[in-house]
Amino acid sequence: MSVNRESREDASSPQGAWGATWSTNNYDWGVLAPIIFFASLIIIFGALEPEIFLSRENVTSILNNGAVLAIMACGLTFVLAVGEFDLSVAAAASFGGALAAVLVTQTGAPFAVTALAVAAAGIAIGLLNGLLVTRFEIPALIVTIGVSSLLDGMTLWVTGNSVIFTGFTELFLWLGGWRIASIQAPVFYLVFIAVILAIVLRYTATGRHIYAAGGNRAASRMAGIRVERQVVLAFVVAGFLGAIAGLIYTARQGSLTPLFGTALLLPTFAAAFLGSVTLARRRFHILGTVIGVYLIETGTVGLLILGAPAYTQQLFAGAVLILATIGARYRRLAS
Amino acid sequence: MAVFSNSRESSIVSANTNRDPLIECSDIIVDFGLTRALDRVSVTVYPGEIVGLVGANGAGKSTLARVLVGEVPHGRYRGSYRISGEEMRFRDTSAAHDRGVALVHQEGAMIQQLSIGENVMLTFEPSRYGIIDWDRLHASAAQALSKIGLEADTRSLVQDHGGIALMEMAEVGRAIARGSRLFVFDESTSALGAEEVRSLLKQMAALRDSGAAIIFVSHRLDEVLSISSRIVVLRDGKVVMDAPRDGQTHDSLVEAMLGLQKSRQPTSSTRQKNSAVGRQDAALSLQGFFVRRSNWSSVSVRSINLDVYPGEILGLYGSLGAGKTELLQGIYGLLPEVTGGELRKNGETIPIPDNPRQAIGHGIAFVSSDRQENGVVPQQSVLDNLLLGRHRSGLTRWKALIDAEAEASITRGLIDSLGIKTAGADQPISDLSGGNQQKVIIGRALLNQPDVLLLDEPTRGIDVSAKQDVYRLIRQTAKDGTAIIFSSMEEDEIIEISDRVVILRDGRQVGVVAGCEPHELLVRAGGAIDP
Repeated sequence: MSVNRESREDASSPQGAWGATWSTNNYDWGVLAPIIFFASLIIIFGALEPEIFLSRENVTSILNNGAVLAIMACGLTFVLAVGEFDLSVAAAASFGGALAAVLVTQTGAPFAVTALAVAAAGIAIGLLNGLLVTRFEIPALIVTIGVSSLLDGMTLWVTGNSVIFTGFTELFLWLGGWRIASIQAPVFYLVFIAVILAIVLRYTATGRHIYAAGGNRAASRMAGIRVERQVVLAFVVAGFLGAIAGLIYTARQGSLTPLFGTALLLPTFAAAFLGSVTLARRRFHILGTVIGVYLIETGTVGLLILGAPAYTQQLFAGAVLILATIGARYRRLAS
Repeated sequence: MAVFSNSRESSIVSANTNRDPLIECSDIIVDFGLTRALDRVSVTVYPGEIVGLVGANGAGKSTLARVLVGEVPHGRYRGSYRISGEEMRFRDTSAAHDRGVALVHQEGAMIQQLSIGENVMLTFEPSRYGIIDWDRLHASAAQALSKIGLEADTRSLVQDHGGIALMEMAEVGRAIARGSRLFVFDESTSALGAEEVRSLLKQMAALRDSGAAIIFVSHRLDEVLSISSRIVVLRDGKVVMDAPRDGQTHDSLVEAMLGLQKSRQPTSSTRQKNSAVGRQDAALSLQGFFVRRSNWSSVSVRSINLDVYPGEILGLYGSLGAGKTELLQGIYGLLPEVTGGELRKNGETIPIPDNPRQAIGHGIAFVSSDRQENGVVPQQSVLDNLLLGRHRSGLTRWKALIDAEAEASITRGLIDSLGIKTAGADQPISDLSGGNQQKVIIGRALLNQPDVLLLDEPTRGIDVSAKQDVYRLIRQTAKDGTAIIFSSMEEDEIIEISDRVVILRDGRQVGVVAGCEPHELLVRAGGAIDP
């Protein structure tokens, strides 16, 4: 009995800070469900195809492939945490990638200028979204659908709707392709970005204010929080990271297919929603989002290795999104 | 549809000639936990009469109304409830609706984007082969509305009219069109201006004349006296008076509502006169302060002049819709477009805040009466809720990262000193009882060490022991030198806690009293149709 108690306390203490638990004798095992699911995916695929699935190449390729998606999803997490919605994050990635590719290959702009331009574009996208939502009180869904379409149009315009695969500078390609022990650059960028975002969201006043505004806007305003500012900030983070993710993606691929971001939109949302019920009770957070991305990536790759057709990715991400949302709702009702 | 409207016609005609009671309640008992909300209440209502139902807060008026309309379902009450001699066993409000009982909501329940006619005929639109017959729909709606003497273009949208009175009447029209026979008006006039009240009362009379039975629940005794043919007074869940309106006066009703309390000595109000009053600058002073009506559900507050001194608890008393909430919201910067007048803090004029943030900057704190809407962040912990909005000041290290230790120790201290019952600072606030949630919200307001604390009905919906804790907390805060404005519509509580009481009625300040009896408060605040 006492052993049992101890192990519970052990299990709960590191999670408590994530808001998942509030007392040692009331641990919410549900927050571990996605982790258990993740683990069983690895065990099942590992048992069925140990040679391929558990190979070093496969593990690193899952890591490398998920990184760009995870950077986008981290930005989206801010918007979801503040209680809004951003469908334009994928279009921001497409546009960021296109802008980078065009600047590097056609104008010969130095990398610093390219990076600054992409960052500025991302911030501008976020400001546009945020100000339309707060100043004009247009629902975020409408605003970001509109901005998405706008951005996709601009992407097609700057790229002339053609694939760009020549003319990238050495530096540009190196920045997207360097490796340490076969782990590629985007993974390190992701770790850097995710750590900063996680600290902001968890350990700063700004993070608290974002969660508060997402939880009850009227109450937050009453308590003196500048709610509109938090909303705009969250959109700026999402727009900025969307565009930067596009830049990293292009540098890693060494080529640009216009509107490549569109296919990433659904997995991005699925990951963030899955993350909100991972190690937390319906709370969007960075670690959860990153876990969500890699869960989806692992499941997709595993199914492909087993011989499932290519559209499995969409099926799997869609199923995860729906199940995670049901899980969140069920857990909220239960609590 | 034509058949339907004919049958309704005949049912009302027959009801008129028939003097059997429509509603007979006998020995109704309702318990909420350990509280007996209704204690063997028997009420009979005949077609073609308006029965006024009055009582102090908590006397059981609303509970009785809720039994009648099926909100307190059969099984939750004991006793017998018959309509036209037949025992009713309502499972919910729609079952009651089907048997001809209609509740007219305080603010009307209309769909703004639809026309008046569509609203009246909602869910039973006349149709032919599945296609709505608009001419017949509007004719039926107009006919229903004409029963209450309301002439409106049924094709115009509800939102183009605005006004709660119209919403309420369209709701009555809907009930008429569905063949309702008993109409329960629950505080229907409380949110209306004088003009609208007059027309609503006129329409209620027209409805009565068409043979319907009406129960009028209201705080406003003058209105009840002006229209009822019989008045039922509840006190502590019991019927203490059931008499024809003739021979009743405002005073006789108040006496019945309060029972022997009238002769009770005023309690603590005459105790220590606050020493600071008048001797130093007021912590907050309002001169010609006003809040214009900002939307169809709010009340306009006119020309308020009041001072509240450091260490003083100033009561703000008035019935529902008297303007208490609007006044406090105006001071706190929640209604900047419609608020005006002069605001002085410690003798110096300050601009009226544009938002809560500025109000906080001026040392003003506010606790809203709507705890769920404007108070708690439900998913978050007690700690996060207590410290909401506070993280920038003093709780961070290196000006950026939150100091978790400081947070935890402040929270622990507050949980102890406020007597918050919680499993820990990490517990989600939604797991706490209403009273403990309220302590968290008050604690949040106190954290800013305000000079002026505005409390809007801070004891609403919390249990007795939590109320005592809140009173203790408020007294302690005042003793520490904070000026407090405490609004309430419960006369006993306001007399108990306040040094002085400002009385509001229909958005107007009708008096400032120091030490008085519940009776006097009720009389002065009881809404008149127009003084």
